Amino acid sequence: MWNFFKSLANLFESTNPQAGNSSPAQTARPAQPTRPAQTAVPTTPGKLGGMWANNVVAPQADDKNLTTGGKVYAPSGKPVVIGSQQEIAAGGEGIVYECPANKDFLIKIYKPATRQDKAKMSVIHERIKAMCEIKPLHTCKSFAWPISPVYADAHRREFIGFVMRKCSGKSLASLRSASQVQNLFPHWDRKSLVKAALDFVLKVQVLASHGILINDFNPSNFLLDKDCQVYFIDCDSYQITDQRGKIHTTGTYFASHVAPELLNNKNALLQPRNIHHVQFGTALIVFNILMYGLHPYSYHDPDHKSACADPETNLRKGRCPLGVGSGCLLPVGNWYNLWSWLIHDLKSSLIATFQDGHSTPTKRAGLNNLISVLEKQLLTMNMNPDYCKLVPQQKKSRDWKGNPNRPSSSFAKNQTFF
Amino acid sequence: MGTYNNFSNNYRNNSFNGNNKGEYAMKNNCCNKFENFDVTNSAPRCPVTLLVDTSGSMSGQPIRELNAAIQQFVQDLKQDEVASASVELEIIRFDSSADIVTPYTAIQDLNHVPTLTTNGYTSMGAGLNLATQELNARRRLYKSTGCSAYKPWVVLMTDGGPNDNWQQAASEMRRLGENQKIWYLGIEVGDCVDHNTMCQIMPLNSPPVKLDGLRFRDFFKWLSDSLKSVSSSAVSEENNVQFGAFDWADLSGM
Repeated sequence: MWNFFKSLANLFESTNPQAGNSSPAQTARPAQPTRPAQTAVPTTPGKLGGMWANNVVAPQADDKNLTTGGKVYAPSGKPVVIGSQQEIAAGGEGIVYECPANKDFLIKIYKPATRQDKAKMSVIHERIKAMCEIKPLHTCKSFAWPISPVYADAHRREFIGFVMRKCSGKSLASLRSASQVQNLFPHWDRKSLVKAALDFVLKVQVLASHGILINDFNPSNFLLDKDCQVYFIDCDSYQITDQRGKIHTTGTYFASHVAPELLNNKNALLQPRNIHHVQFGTALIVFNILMYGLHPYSYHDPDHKSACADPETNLRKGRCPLGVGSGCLLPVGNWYNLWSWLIHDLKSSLIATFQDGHSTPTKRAGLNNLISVLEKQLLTMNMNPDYCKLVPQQKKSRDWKGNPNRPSSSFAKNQTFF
Repeated sequence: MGTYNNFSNNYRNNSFNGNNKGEYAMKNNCCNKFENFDVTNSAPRCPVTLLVDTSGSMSGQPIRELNAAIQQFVQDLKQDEVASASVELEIIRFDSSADIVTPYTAIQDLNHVPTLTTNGYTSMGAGLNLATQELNARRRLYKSTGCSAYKPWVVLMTDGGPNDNWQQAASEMRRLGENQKIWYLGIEVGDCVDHNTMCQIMPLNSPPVKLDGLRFRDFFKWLSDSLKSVSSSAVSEENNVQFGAFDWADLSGM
């Protein structure tokens, strides 16, 4: 009777009789942002106050039936055993467990504190169901996409989480220096980073083609593997438009990676995103990947130290350091050298997004443009190995003529990017 | 100490701080790593100062537990690739004098943490003074290199009370805590702590907390979990990060 586990996707096919009878398109009611959380309670009320009062949370009681060894139920009513807890996935609103029935999948179960908020859980349930309806993404290994909601009982009385595809790799947030890149991926050169950036943009475009917009560009939401593939792992990061035209938002965001018109207007963060917001976040992640995690608004002017602020403040104010030569005000380090070895078109697209596009969203580089300039960068790298150094010892000077032994341009045209 | 002094003087004197407009990197390739500060690491930094009492009364099991807990703390953070790039640890000991055991070093670059030994009296004032100087110098370093940073963490641990002049030394750190410029924790170990003095040393909004027995490991686990949460947040959102419960504390007297 357990043969059905062989095809987990089939198991989680919804048998909910109400699934096809949802209300017609209506105005979305935005979810409350889940990051940052606003519901902290002191550990021992009345005892810990002051600077810790809003940050230290009370321990939450475990639900014995909804942890390792317990069971959840598919929409079909069939039970699914909960596996061991994923080590890195206990934050936020839920806990992620292995799915022993199929190791390609994971089970996310919302914490009791989240489940107590019935209105919020109803919004999440609707959004997860809308995500599950996007069938083409069920088979994409690059997305930890929900394939089925799960319930506390066989009668679907309480929605408690969902099953999603398992992805693994190194967090994009851990790429912070050339030495860290070498530690994580010993065989990588800078071309590998460009391939990863290109893969990222291509996948953002795949999502956009399904009407899915990323609203949370937290680098921790993306994983990298040694083959330069990027994996998208946070199901709360997306704005979904369902088959009935209803928009499901989550309101989540990462403050240093959000378009300035949203960052400067918190109410706007709760409104549906548009493609220009996605373009900004995508360009920001591309810059992060190419520049070892540096933020494009890391502005440092030694002559005006008082004007130097943290990247988020600069992002709010549109203070972008990118440029050429002495006009480029990147922080102390090798950052200008790195920047100089990006091709002109790629730098122009990034500058257009972060400078002109700061106040005028329509001037931001589109996804197609980013794909095109990253492909050009790869072609240039194929022709000139100097571009591929993880740690360029000097900037690319204006009179740099390239490697005299480089392959001819006709050779390069026949090269594949990967 | 020699290493520390060279490093410290370097950035205190701003001797590296030439014209770094764009061309800086090309002219200063040899300077990509200031001692103990890697300017090629783009991570926002989270400086953590452990200011620990190593007076004679900490000898025996307390210092053994503390040493083991610090080693575990470092290893735990090393496992987290994001936190290990962000968290910069400095350990200052105070007994009859105050010394830097480990200068601010990113966890990912920290290869060895010396074992603390006990000796003499409790020069907490000297320790606070040194910690304040170090912290201010580190913040200047971040500013002068364009490195963004989270709010610093300062952990003061003692099992007694200061034997030296602490009032002046404590005031600046207390002010930073009261203005919420730092996360400031005062940990009392055992039953012989001069609690009244600790209450004056610590800011009003962060009174000292008594460690439950010798649960150093639980405290440092809590600390590493908290630092992991901070380092994975956006700098502007760190005040909204949630930390675990103070399970390691004895709150019965509060």
